[in-house]
Amino acid sequence: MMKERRDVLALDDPLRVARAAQRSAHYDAALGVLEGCEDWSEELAEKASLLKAETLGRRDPSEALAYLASVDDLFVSAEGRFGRDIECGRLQATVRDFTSAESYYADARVLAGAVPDGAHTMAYHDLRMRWLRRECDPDAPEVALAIAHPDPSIASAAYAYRGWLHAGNRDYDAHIADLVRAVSYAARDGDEAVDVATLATSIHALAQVAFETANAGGIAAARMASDALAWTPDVRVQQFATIRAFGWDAFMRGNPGRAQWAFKEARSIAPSTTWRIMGHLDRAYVARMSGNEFWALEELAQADALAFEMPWESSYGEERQVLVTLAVLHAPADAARAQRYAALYSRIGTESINPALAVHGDRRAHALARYAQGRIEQTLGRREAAVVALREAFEIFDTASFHFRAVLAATALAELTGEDRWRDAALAHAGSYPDCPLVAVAEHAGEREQAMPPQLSPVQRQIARALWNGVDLAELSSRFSRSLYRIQRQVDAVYAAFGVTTRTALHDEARTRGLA
Amino acid sequence: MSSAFLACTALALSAIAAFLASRWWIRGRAVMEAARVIAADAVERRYNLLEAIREGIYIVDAELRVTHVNDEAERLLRRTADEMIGLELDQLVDPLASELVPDIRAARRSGIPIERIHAFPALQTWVEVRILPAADETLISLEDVSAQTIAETQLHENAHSLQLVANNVDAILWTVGRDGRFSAISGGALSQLKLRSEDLVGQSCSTLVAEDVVRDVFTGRHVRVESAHGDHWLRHHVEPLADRDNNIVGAVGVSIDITELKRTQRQLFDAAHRDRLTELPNRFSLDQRLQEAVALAGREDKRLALLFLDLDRFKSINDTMGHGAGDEVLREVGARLQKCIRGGDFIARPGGDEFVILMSSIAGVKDIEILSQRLIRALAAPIQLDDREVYVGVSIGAAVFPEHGTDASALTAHADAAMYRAKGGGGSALAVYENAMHAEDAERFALEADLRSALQHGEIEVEYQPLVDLACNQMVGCEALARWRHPTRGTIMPDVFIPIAEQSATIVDIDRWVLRQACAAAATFRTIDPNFRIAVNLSARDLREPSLALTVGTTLSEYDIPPHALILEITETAALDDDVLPGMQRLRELGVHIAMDDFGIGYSSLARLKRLPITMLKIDRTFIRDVTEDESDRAIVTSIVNVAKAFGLRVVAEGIETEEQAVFVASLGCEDGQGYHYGKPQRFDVFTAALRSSRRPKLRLVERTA
Repeated sequence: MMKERRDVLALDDPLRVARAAQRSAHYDAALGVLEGCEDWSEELAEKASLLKAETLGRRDPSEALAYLASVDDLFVSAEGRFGRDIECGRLQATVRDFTSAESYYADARVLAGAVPDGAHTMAYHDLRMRWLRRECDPDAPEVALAIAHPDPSIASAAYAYRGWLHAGNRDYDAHIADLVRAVSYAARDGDEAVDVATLATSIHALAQVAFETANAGGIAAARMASDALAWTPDVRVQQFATIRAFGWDAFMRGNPGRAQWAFKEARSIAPSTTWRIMGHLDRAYVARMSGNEFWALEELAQADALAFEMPWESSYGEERQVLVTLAVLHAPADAARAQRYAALYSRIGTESINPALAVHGDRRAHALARYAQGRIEQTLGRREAAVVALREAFEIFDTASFHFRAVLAATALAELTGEDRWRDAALAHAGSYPDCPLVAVAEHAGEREQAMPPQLSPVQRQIARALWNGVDLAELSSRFSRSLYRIQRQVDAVYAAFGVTTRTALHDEARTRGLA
Repeated sequence: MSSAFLACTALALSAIAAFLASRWWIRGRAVMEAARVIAADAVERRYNLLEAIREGIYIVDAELRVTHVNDEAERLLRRTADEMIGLELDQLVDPLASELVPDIRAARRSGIPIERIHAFPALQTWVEVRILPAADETLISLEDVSAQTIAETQLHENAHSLQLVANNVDAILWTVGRDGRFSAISGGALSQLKLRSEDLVGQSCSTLVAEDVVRDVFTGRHVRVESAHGDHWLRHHVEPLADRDNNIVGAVGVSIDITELKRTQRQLFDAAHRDRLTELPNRFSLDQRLQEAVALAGREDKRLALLFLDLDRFKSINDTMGHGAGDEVLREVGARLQKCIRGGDFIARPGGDEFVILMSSIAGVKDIEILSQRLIRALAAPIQLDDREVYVGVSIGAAVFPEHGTDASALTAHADAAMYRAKGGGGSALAVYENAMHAEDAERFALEADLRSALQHGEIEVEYQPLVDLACNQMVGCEALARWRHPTRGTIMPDVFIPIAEQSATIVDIDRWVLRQACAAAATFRTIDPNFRIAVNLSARDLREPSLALTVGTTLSEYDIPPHALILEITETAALDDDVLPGMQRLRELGVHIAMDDFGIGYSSLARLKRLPITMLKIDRTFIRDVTEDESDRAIVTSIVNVAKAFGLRVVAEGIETEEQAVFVASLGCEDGQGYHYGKPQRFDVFTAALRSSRRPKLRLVERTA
């Protein structure tokens, strides 16, 4: 109680205020308070400029490094110099200059004994370096030391890093378990506020990996942490991705309506036009998979309108992710447009497709890129190349238990090859989610569903198939538990959709379309 | 009776109560319909209430499970009732179903209906959604408002496009209500009329267009009308404005500023019908008017008189004081004569120093004498020219319908003959035609006789005037002009003797002789400048000679001159009759150029111009003289040049006297020029020397002077 009071009273202490702002991901506020901190009294200036560098580094590591170089003579105390060396090392490592990073860390190691929690802090940075160098040993001694760091923000981040080390060893359950531990800090009451950006990153990672692997417990933990976290505009990218993952999870668990609300909510906070397009594409996909082609086309059209505004010249993963989705979703109804997007995708590069996973050097990121490439090849009519890329992607998804992606890859392979094993693989992975709507899709994969008139509902599609397979009206009536009158109306709708008036003509038309 | 049906009826009743309770919700027709159906339902219980409502309706229970769906809702959700009933709403993936769940929950919590438009802009579909919570159920009504929304959007877009057009094409767009007052008005032309839209809205349309016009439009007609607005002219296109049920609710109009168009039309009309100098009607108008007057007098059994007026001593003024003075005299004379004539009389200046008066109704010769006295007196007073006074007299010849002729041409010939007699008597006199007057016109006949022998006696000479390309300011040809060196009367200009020659066949001999002379000269000129061209005048009579083309062809080959180097000039009057067309056509086939001479002063019809096989147009000197000062002359020249360009004709400006005029007409688009500025007509030897010296290389000149 006393401590809380002191915190409130200490609000006039600018360093405390700035630290609180930074931890709660209000970077502009923090930098505002720290404006001119270099001229503060000696001890304060040392700490404040370090905090300023940390805050700048959240947005642009290079800028932070330049700033630290300009205020180098402020760091005189052992604690100050240790903090400076640690931060420089961290920033150099972030920009992948490991040699410089190691050199700063070596200087820091000398001072570690002279500062409070120096050994723990050093261990945490060693853990981070281990992850950056892909040395996946979660049982290394510094890992335990880092996790035991008294600062909960660092402890939480340490759990997340250990999780990635597990992932590097393909121990995906341990990965999720550590991510769950990392995000549990969001709901923890403690003396010191936990860094929002650290939590946001972990929540996003957990939500995505848990959804991909159909891990209900992971999703529940992510959702709880997300609800507890005070999201800010400075962590909007993570928030957007988290809500999207929840939406996909809802869809895969048979709740398309909830998925659509989630995508709508995500779109409303989309951090860029690219992600706003993705918001429409998510909804288009779910609408189509739920048999509402009309809605799907509306969302696609809105995505096209936004895509028209885009310069499409950056090679960020998110742009390519949007382009491949545009191509795949347009392919059934507008092949020419799909190919234009595919060509655009090929033009701006074929690097990694998921920035979050790519940063962690995860082979699943490679699989995502191969999957995207496969769909592009498929769109462009290069079947062989498509099959090669999709098989490679599928094998990784399969072993990594990325069930959602595995369903997509296997379904595409079934369409391309017509081989039953791919359909079975798709069904097997779809079965990981209860009431997965993709089960029905996987069942008919390879049936050239896109040749079906899009206005037909799923029931009407089944009736259409029954019609050209020679099932008579009375049997349809009993099979679908509908009156003869209702069935006749459905049959009329099917005939109209195919532009025919007789069953013989329907049969011929279905044959022409490669459906029968 | 099923329990579902009862639930449905109960819900509908509560729904209607809520309909009535919340005013903004009310859709009169739907309520009336529902009420009527409920009444009917009391009798015929098997009626499905929901089907009777125009909107799509579906109902969900407390767990948001679909319980009822009507036909329209099936259509809007593109699913059958069977597919939907029993589904939880968030499984019914549709913007009109699953997307509404948060709103439905909110409505259920608050008990307040929610209304919103759900848009599918890319698919051009708009649906008005109303969520109406009731006890344990919620009714959702869906109304397809695409048609209205599309119409509204189109209306908005159209209005925007129209606005864009109106602001940029000097037009005004407006609508008036049935009260004849503007409901909207806008457009770029408003400011030109010094009007402001905000002052006009709510005011009578008469500021812009007569109320009668609008009343006419209210009867369903489309009206096109022009009106003057200050010094602006507007053309209005007005159409009825109808509502959806085709009731006329107003009028919509576009008013286009056609002031500029009007001005050009007027100028072209004047160019065709008026003499530029005196602003009196020209020969074309006279001929029309005379035909009409003769026809009318014949029908109404009236007498009319045709007076030919020729100025005495005018020629000497022209020769001694220049064309400028002559023109001033003509203007003044025209003005004085116009003041003398009676109301209903008609005066024209067909050309030269001739004026013609048509007295539309006369009692007898006495009337002619009275008017003539007035005319002679009017011209007796001196005419002030800058610093001096000049005196002109007028000789008047008159012919009376029907006594002296019953058609226009006879009257014209006889009035002309009488005029010559009046002139023969010493001028400032009236002579009324008497039969056999021709024979008595001694002087004219003497001249005619002299002219016949003039060729044999070598009295006809040819002079050459330079034709200059305005672009490079270089002489590219010349015009051959005939001169009559009369042994006793001195040099007689073509405008005097050509008309006389045209009365007889002499003109043909003269023109052929001039053609031979000119071609012979041209052969010499072309040794100095191989591209040199020569222009020769032809008369209407020449054009009627079947052998003309043969003569021209033979002459050209005799002197080894390519056809394109020869320009044959004909006057507008000569080209008046259709019977000259074949002759002109044959000349064109030969490859020679045909120019229309003195264009603009006499007869000119664009339609006819188009039919003539001419290649050049020579703009009459009267337009060129003041072209640098006179805006209307400039407009005329511009119009003529534009017309000529449209017909692919080359344009020559005649009578260029100053450098300024030359530069100016060149800027207006004239290609060639002729006039004293470049040289007056010269005898062959003088002209040859001048041409030779103009082609001498400059270098040689330097050597010689050095």
